[in-house]
Order: sequence, then structure tokens, then C-alpha cells
Amino acid sequence: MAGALGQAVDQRFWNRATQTADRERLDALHLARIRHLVGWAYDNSPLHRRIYDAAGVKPADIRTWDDYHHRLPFTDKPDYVRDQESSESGFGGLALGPEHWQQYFHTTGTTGRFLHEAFSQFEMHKAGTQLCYGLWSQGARPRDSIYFCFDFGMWVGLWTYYWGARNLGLTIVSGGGATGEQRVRHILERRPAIVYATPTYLLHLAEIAERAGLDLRRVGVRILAGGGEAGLSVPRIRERLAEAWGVERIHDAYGIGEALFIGQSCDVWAGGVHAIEDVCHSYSVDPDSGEPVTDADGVGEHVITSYTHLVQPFIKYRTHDLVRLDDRPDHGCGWTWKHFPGVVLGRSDFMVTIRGVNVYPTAVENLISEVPGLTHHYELHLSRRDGMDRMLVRAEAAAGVGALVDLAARLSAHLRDHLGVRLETEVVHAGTLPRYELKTRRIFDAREPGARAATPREGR
Amino acid sequence: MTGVAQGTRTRTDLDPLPPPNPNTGPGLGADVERQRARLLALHALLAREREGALSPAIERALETAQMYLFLALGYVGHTDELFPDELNDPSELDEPDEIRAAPAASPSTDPTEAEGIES
Repeated sequence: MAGALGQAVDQRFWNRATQTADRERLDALHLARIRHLVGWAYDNSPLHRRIYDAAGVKPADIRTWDDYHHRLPFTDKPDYVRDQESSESGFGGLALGPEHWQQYFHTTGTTGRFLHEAFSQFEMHKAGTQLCYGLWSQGARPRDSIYFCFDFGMWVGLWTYYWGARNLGLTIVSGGGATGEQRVRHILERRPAIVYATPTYLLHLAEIAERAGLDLRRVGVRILAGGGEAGLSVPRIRERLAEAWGVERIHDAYGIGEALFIGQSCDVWAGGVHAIEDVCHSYSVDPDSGEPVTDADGVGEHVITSYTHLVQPFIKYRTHDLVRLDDRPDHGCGWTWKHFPGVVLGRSDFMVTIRGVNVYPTAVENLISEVPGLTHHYELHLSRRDGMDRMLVRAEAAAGVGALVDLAARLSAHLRDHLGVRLETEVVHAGTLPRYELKTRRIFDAREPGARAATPREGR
Repeated sequence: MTGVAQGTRTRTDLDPLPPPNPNTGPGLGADVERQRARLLALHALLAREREGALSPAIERALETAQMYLFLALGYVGHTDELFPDELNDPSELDEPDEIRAAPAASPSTDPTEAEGIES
């Protein structure tokens, strides 16, 4: 591939034409795409038509940025969840029917319920392109190999990484179905150039290797890549990973399920990621007023419009991620695309990441109450073992209820079904848990302070 | 995609969208604009070839080729369509003269095979 590009092509960039375009040209492209997308959604998605009609807005009304910011209504996850629960299809915000779908996914159930997602074949192809910008910038090239440390499931993020590897021309080595020990062996044998996992899992593998007396630093891995957690943007964790794996390049990716991996770190680490402006528009707003945040140092809620997801359009969609957005970054990489220093700075509600899946305590709380035989007395115990976060859900049985082990199993299955990750569960006899006179303490976080700071991160 | 309703204007009871301005390219430079024009021409050629596909295998291969080609259109700032099936009508696409003059499909020596090929 490199030979076919010729000498005249600047190979620093995956797509120089747009990655280095000036802000005014980029904004003009965004506005053209957004206007087209609003028309598409209005014509084809009953949900969007209802929302726009309720706001008294027609697609032709959206001509300027002021129209976009102030006339076009926001969309939010509850809009889609309500639509999916009331529709025969079981999907929310659909603009194209099942005859166009190639693959089905769902979100991690941040509110206790999954948001179902459907993607066309073209969307999967395009989703694959989203990761190429950052990986290319880190030095990944066709015929480099990448090792995936996970099993494929219903979460879209892993699949888009797979499609990204295909799109970039990487040689794929799957670690699906393997234990941590087996994955360490695979990596030692296959010597991949890139290893992809969540940061906590990468640390977990390093600990496994160390216990076995194996040195991952001698494998020749050049790039660690991942996402789904904040660790790859936390300097101390980056340092630990670089030391444990002997790598110089650590690639961070920020994504949301509705628009996939829309943030990528460049080759000049500046403490954050760039928005991938070929595939989405990003801006931030005051969470309360909805007004755009124009101060480069101001923190606001990230709002996106995706150009990739068309089966279910996501337009002016509130992510609830708190970000700082620099729309004219100048840290030496050459990209002109917006930059998120610190990536995601927080969420509107507290969140814990268990094996790469974001778990909201509020979602767990809601689900506990749905299991017959349990009371509303419970505790969530967070801990860290072998570099991985864990959550023990300790719930109290109702008076007179026995068979606590069976009840704990039912609670575990219920949480697994709705959150997409298995949590440890324990059910205790009625009256066991302490009662408080004032605000009840339900969350007990025994992790080290640095790990706790790393958790408020979206990325699904 | 032959036989499948596609595109943004699937409803006839709505006001038309503002038309794209043919004089406003992505503004990313002359080289980029020239490549965009060539890619659009290629897309038109693929669409025409796809209509004359001799087998589901060929039709599917050409459909996939259009998807990849549309990625390239996105890279050069093409905004008039959002996805390849919005560009599926060859009659709506501009082609440079040299492509328009080319045969839509390779000549076949078997007249029965040629029946499905549209010129």
C-alpha cells in the first residue's frame, strides 16, 4: 500500500485533506452534512419527525449554525429508549428497516435497559474507518498485526475495532475464548505489533506475565490501544503500561455507542483525543441552559451528530459526557480537528467500569428492587484485584425469605441480563445491613484513590 | 440497490430539501475536488455495471465496491449524499466523457448472456 501512494502523499495523516483543513472549511462541511442529515431523519425516522414537529422545526429551517444551536431540538437516550419500548421493532429512532441491517448490537444498559442498535453494512464499513486516523498516526501500517484481548459480544465497540483493523489492512490475531494466561502465551508466540484491550486488562495481563516470570517487554509490541475506560488518558496509568509492556505508543480512543469511536489520540500526546471530524460533529453545551460553550477552557456536555449511523440517526445528541473542547488545537501534530484535553472529565451521574463495561450504581439500584424476595437495603462494594475493578452487590432478603444462595444467583442473573456484565452478589438475612439515621451509605469504594479518579469516564 | 426503496426522498408528501449547491464543493483544494469528481464518475460506472450484473455474485461484489468507494468520497468531503444507495441512480450521475463513451460491460460472445446488460 505504501508504494502505491507515491512520494507526493504526506503519509503522516490517514486523510490529510480533511485532517489539516482549516476550521472554517471544516465547519462548512459539517453544516452541509448536518442539513442533509436532518432532512434524512425527518423524512425517514418517525421519532425525529415527532421531535422536530413538536419543536415546530422543518429541515429547511436549519440553514445556519445559529439554527442548529438554537432551533433544532436536542435528542437524548431516553427518547430512543421510549421509542424502542413502544415500537413493534423493539428499536428506537429507526430510519431504515430490517432489510437494510447487517448487524445488531446493544448498549451496556447505563440506565438499566439496553438501547438496541442496528447497523447497515455500509455503516459497519464506515465505523471501521473511524479508528484508522489514530492508529495510522501512531505508526500502525498495513500488514502490522493486532491482537484482540476479548470475546466478541453485543457491544459495538469491539466490532468497530475489528472493522477498523480490517480497513487499515492489519493482520488480525484473535484472543477470543482464551484465559488471561493463554493470552499472554499467544502474545509471546505471535509477537503482535499492536495489542488491544481495556487499560485495566492490559495491566492485568502484565501482572499475569510477571507472576509467571515472563517479560512482555521483550515481545516487540509497539502500540497499546484501547478504550472503554479512562486509563489510557491518565498519565500514571500510561506510564505503568509503557513500563510493563515496553512500548512507546499508547493509543487512546473515546467513543459512545451511538456514534462509535469518535475520539482518537494523535502521535503527539497532548493529554487528550481529537474528534474524528470526518464522521461526526462535536460541540459542548452548558448542561442546564443548552447554550454552546465557547470558552476553550470551559467544561460542557458533549453533544454529537453522527455521520456514520444512519439506520438510527443521532443528531444533536446529548452524550452526558463532560468535556473541555479546544476547536483550534496547536500541539504540533498537524491535525486541525477539535481536541478534548483530558478526554471525558466526568458524568452527570457516578459510574464504575467493570471489565470494560460501564456500570451505573443507579442502574444497579433500580434492578435490585426488581428481584422478588429482596428488600431495598443493599450495599455496593468496589474493590480492585489484579488491576481490575470489581463490584460486589450485597443485598438484604425480605423477612422470612430463605434459600439465600439461590436468591443471590437470581440477582446475579438479573443484573447480567440487563447490564451486560456479571457482578458478584451476596444476599444476607433480613436486618443484617446497618441502618442510618441520615443519608444511607450504600457505596463502599476500597480501590486506591488513583483508580477511583479514573472511573468517571463514558466510552461505554 | 435495484428493487429496494432507498434514498432520502422516500416520502412524496414533504417539501423538498434545499438542493445542494453545485458551485460549492468541499473547498479542500483543487486536487481534492478533482479526485472527488473522478470518484463520482467511478461510482456512476459501478452503478451502471451493477445494473447489468450477470449474476448475484457480481451484483453483490459491485455493491460492496460501491460501499468502499463511498468511503473515499467521504474522505474528500463529499456531502451531497450520506451513503452509497443515495447515489444509486446512474441517470442522475455525471460522468466524464471518457467514461461515458466506455462500454457498460465487457462484450460477451454469448448473445444470451448479453440480454441482461443495459447499454
